[in-house]
Amino acid sequence: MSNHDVSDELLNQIETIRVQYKQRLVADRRKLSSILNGLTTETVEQCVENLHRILHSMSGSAGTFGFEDVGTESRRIDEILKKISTEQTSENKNTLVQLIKDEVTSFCELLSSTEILEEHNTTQSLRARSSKSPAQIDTPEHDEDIEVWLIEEDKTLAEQFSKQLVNFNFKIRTIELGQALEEAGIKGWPDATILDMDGYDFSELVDTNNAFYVKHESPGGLIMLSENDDFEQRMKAAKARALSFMKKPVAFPELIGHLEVVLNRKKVEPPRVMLIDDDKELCSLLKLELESEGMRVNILSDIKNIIPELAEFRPELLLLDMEMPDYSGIDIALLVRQHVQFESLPIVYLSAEQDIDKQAEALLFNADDFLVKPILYQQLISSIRSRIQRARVLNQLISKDGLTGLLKHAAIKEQAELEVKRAQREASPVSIVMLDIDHFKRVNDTYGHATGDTVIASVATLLRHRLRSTDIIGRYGGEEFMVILPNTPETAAFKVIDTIRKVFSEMEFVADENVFNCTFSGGCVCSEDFNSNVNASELTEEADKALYLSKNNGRNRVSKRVQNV
Amino acid sequence: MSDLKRVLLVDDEPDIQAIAKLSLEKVGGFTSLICSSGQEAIDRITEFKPDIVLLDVMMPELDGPHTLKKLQEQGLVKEIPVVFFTAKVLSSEVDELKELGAEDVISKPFDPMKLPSQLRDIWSHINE
Repeated sequence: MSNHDVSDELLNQIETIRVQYKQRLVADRRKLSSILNGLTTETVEQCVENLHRILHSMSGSAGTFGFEDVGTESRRIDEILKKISTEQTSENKNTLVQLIKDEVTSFCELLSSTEILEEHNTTQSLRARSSKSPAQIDTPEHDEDIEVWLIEEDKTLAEQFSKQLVNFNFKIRTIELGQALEEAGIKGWPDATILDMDGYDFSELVDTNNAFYVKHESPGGLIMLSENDDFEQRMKAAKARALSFMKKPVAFPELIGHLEVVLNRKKVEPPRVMLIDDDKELCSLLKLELESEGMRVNILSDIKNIIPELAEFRPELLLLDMEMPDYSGIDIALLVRQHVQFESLPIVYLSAEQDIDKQAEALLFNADDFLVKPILYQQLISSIRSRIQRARVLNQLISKDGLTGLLKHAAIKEQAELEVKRAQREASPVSIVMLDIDHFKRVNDTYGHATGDTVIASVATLLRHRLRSTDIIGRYGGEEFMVILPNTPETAAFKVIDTIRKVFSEMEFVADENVFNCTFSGGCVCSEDFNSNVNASELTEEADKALYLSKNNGRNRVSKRVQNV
Repeated sequence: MSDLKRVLLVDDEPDIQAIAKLSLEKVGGFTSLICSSGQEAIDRITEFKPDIVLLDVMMPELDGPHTLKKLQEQGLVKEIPVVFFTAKVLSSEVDELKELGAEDVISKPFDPMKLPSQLRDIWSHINE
């Protein structure tokens, strides 16, 4: 095979790897800075060794990925470090520390000034989770907008869809296929794309060998619609890499359901890991390493405060040093397991213990895995990822409702308790809202249970898309929902929920030939309006009272706290 | 002389692994096996039967020279040339690596478009 034949495709693939490598450079820069922070005359030997590891590897790789400056400079500094560690220099340690600081600091500046890092920072800030206040929820241009492209020849249908989709806080763009391909080629595809196959020649999308495919990714989150539901048509959709196919006419709530599925596949929450180790240096290195893999990491600050810190951070995995001065890893694991809510929290031990029997003993004591120091990062990361993945699947089965994907009764009650306690600790307001679909029995009786399920799923989806990612939503009972809004006073919570109520009441449901609307009623209370010791079940009861006030006053409304006269 | 077909690469860095695999397979048309550690190479070399081994020098745990030593001791590379892959460039260091029994040294950073021809050059040199 000659270079010429493959060079185009190869260059594209190299570009993909290059992008990954850029991210590694960003992480490496942070590691370098963190090592510099710990550099003193006492730690100089260890720091030189750590710096050498990073710089040496960079000097061998940066050039391959087109960062020649970075490669040359890291090699030069690495040579200096090598001299320091192998030759007996006459310089005193203070001079050495200063020399290393100067060199590495200016190297970090070179890394930052390299355009690549700015690029990466932009994407990172785009991905950063929003901390928008509820008041901002109604502004369409916030950073968690989910962009959906609508490629639809039929103007009336396009208008109908976009009108409804906007209600779910999707950022909708109606776009011609040709233009979509062109723009996707430059900026990439949006979060989801809805494409009506009828009336379009989309052979370019289907032919995976054509120029477009070789150059670009396939559309992200593609849903294809067609009147024709046969093998040929479905195969075309599959070839275009559609994740979902729907036969027209499309019932809107069903489309929303498909969108949810498609978007969920893309949305991966960063794994949360809590780290407990008395070796502070190792802790911060591990933290950086795991964070560069996209995980969120907390280092336990005070062992005596372990349970509140766990409750606060809600880690999905606990990384625990086996040997610490006052308490062993086993002691801590047992203590954690005494608390019911952490019974299934995966625990992974880190240890210098090579003895297989001792490892086996540790595993008997409540741990899920045992990693021996020095830690191989690849092994650590895959161990963490696979355990969290499995825990998530289990957790999903245990705590999430199958129809709505929301938390089940027990799980949302537990969350309410945690959030109310947290609010008390932080002296911040938390609002609790109870919602109930109006005349739901009538919907079920008139249109059947399948339609009833669609209505329930629509409320769930609407809540998910209109609320912040920090808000917690649960299916409390059949047609009853609970929403917890941390850091939110009653007025703001009321405003948000009342807007959702209006939007929901305007949604059209279709069953057989009938078009109908549904409504819900709500009750909304906030912790700050009660005494400071109020607990979650008292607040829930108050929210329920407010909900029944709404029901008694004619439904399709949200009420605030019922004042006792 | 037979053609160079199968390359075993040992390197712990995922980015290098990815780009080297592309280079070896897409540019060079070789069959490759990528191992992330010296131990993995030792475990898998017999099953893979490489024509040549490309071995990174600096790796955690078992580094390149120690991996080579183990491979030699266990008689796993009697007829297989080993080439070091390294960011060390001083000629004294290159000589030291060759003294350990390596056939040659390819320096990092490498050009993914050229790596296969570098390997073929070494291969034909050995078989001259």
